[in-house]
Amino acid sequence: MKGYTGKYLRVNLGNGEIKSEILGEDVARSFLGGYGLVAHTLYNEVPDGADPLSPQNVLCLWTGPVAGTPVPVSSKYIMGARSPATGFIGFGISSGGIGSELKAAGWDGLILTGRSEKPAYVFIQNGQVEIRDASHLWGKTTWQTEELIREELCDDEIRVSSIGPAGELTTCLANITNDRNRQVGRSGMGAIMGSKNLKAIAIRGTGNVEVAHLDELMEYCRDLYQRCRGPATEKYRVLGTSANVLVHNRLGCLPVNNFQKGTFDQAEAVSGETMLATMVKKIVACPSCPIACDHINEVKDGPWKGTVASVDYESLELLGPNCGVADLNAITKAVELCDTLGIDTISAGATVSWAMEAYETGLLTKEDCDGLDLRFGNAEAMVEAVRRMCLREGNLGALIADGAARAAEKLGQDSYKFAMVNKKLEWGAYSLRSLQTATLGFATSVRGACYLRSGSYQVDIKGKVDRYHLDKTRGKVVSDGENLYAIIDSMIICKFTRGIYKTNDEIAKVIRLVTGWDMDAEEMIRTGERIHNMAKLFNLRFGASRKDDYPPPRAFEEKMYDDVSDGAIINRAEYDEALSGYYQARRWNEEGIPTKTFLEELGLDPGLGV
Amino acid sequence: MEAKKIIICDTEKCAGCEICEYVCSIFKEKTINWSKSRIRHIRIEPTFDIAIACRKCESPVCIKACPRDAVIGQEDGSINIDKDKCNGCGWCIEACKFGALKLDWDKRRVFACDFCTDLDQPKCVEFCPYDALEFTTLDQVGLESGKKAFKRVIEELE
Amino acid sequence: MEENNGHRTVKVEFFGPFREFGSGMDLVVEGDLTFEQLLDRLVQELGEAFRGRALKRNTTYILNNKVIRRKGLSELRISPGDRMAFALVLGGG
Repeated sequence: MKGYTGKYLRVNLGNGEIKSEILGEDVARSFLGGYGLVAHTLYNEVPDGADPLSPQNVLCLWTGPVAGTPVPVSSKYIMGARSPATGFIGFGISSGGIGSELKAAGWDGLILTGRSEKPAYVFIQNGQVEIRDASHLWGKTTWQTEELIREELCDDEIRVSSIGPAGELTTCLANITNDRNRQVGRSGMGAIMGSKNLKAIAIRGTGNVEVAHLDELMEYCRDLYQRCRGPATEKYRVLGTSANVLVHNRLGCLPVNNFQKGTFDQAEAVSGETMLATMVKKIVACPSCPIACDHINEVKDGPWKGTVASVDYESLELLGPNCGVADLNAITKAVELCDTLGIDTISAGATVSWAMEAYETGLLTKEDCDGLDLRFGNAEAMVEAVRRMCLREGNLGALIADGAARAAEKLGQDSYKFAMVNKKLEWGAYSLRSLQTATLGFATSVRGACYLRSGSYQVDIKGKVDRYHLDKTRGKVVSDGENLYAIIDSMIICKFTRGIYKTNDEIAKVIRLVTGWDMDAEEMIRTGERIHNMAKLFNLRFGASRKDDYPPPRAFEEKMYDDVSDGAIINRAEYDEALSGYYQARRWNEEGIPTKTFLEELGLDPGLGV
Repeated sequence: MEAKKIIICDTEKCAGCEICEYVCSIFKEKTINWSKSRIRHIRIEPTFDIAIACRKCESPVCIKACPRDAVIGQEDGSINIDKDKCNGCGWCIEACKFGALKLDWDKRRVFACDFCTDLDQPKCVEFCPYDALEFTTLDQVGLESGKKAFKRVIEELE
Repeated sequence: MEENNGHRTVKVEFFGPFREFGSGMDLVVEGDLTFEQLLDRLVQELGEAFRGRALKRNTTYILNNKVIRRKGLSELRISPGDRMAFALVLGGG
């Protein structure tokens, strides 16, 4: 097999057993890698009813066939497990050097089971794999952990993926950081590592990465690199994703004050334009990336002077305008806390904003917040609330550390009505009621509130549809997006490169040159469909049904009061029709369950089908 | 006497993509293995990036350091490692102040950049997506810096 | 600004790479404009470089709160009191 090493590691953290296992070509071709292999592994290995934070949960790390190759941008990896936040399939895709390093070390993936008795980290150096003591690392931030491991092992080229104190505390929002600025952000994968007493995974690989057609691949890459410097990627290279702030504001779809409004009167102050002019120290790239989208901010004055952190749109938006905060310094500090202490910026922002709304409506008092004046717009309070969430500190920290849904359950008094979640995962920085195709994509996402599975917001933003209403044709937009994105997330290539490919076959060509398989665009999309259904089957096994595919109550029950999107609301009947349309497009029944025949067609276990 | 050309990296443009390392190993070693790249990317956190290769020093300390005379100076100022003589002692690696020499993990021998003299042009320079790398002389580097500085002055005066 | 002479403004905004032309401007207009007419007015103020940038394929036009599709551009009418933004094509993050 080319493009794969053909082997993966199985590490039992409980008894210390380390095994090398074969990755079969049939599994590789059916599920491709990355997301596909995560879905396949979790479906087959996580026992029914396994508590996410118990030793029975399985944590896996997979690369795809392009990892370690010069394909732009290939250095991605994915980590997955049953999510402690949603109870469904959990995973996150990060970039940086981990994926390529693991490939060069000779492994396609790593499956971690059980629980270590003491804090440990796994060190993989080519064929040598060790479980090492991490007691001296426990309590350290992710950045400190990376430095300390490199020092201990006398090698600055080691790539480290680690959790911070939040992961150690197994908060549902905990993320995993590698290469400082890159995160396996969402769905609480950091908590899974923490629950296994696994502080870090350290990798050093010096082997050759094999592909089927190297010369032809390199020539194709020459062309792809040129395209990556062209108009298809301009939006990422100059302002970066923060360019969305002013545009979303103009369109009335910028979540403000816990998704109450769609416009922010201080948008200019926290725009990508202002950020570039005043704070961006440098724009850096991941290995194999000709785009460079990573905007590194430096705080130059004020109480957080000296803070350096990588700030992207969703982090900025949810910690900023969504909390009413107009201070880029505070936002940068909050991101740094999230990246080092270890929680997801998106969940953090949307949870703090929930707490702010609870405070503003009197459901939380200043005493409940340990003295914090948690008003919308209070930048210092936002930063402090984030810090306390990471460390479960005080009453407030304990209340909100596991996210808005669980906090609302504890607080009661109908506060669930403004917990902006789907499947108990917090919503991203896209206004629910003024981007309705986006909302359909978010709410039906297997991971919970997230657009990364389908990118369905694109038709709303580009004005291809009426974004203030839904109809039964929107489902196809979501499902088509899901099939393609499943491939992107399994190869794994960076979504920011999607614009450089003019056709699906140009993407399939990458797979052909790397693996040597004669996979055409049709087989590729069918593979994407299979992968998506595999992930769905995992969710069905853990009790998912139609009721889990709805946006939060605010969508249906409250109209927006806004300069631009005034009166916007989601019509329940329209949503139901659109949801049914989505299930139809997916070839599932009205409850969102695939038929047995369809599953067999895809080559999947028909057991859970109808 | 010819002016020597070396590979210069503009640290403001270098984004740390390491494509130079991929490409070097592909063209020089016929395989993808960045640990075998002659050019080396260095990141000093949080944002300093540079890619370094041999500087063609006038009086190369690596040549002087080698106890087996395995490091041989070339006419163009670069060095070549004699495969038969090199014993991987790494004394030259210690001597080089720029980290331009590396030890091959498999062959257990030292290797260094030969500026792709066997190919049409240095591949790292050809492929760098950020135009951060240039194969040029130090005279040119100085001249360009001067021009850049005065262009700004001229623009401001206009 | 006096209302009785019938003049009102179109508020033009520049986002992203369009900031090289400033943050925007208010154009005094005497009635509806086509897209071409608006472009000509802006080119008068900002130079031909603006036309080139504005017509690039990856430019997004936002009229009031709507992204304008390229197909309908010739029928578009920009009225006094409207807001027109020029931005780069959008994406996620």
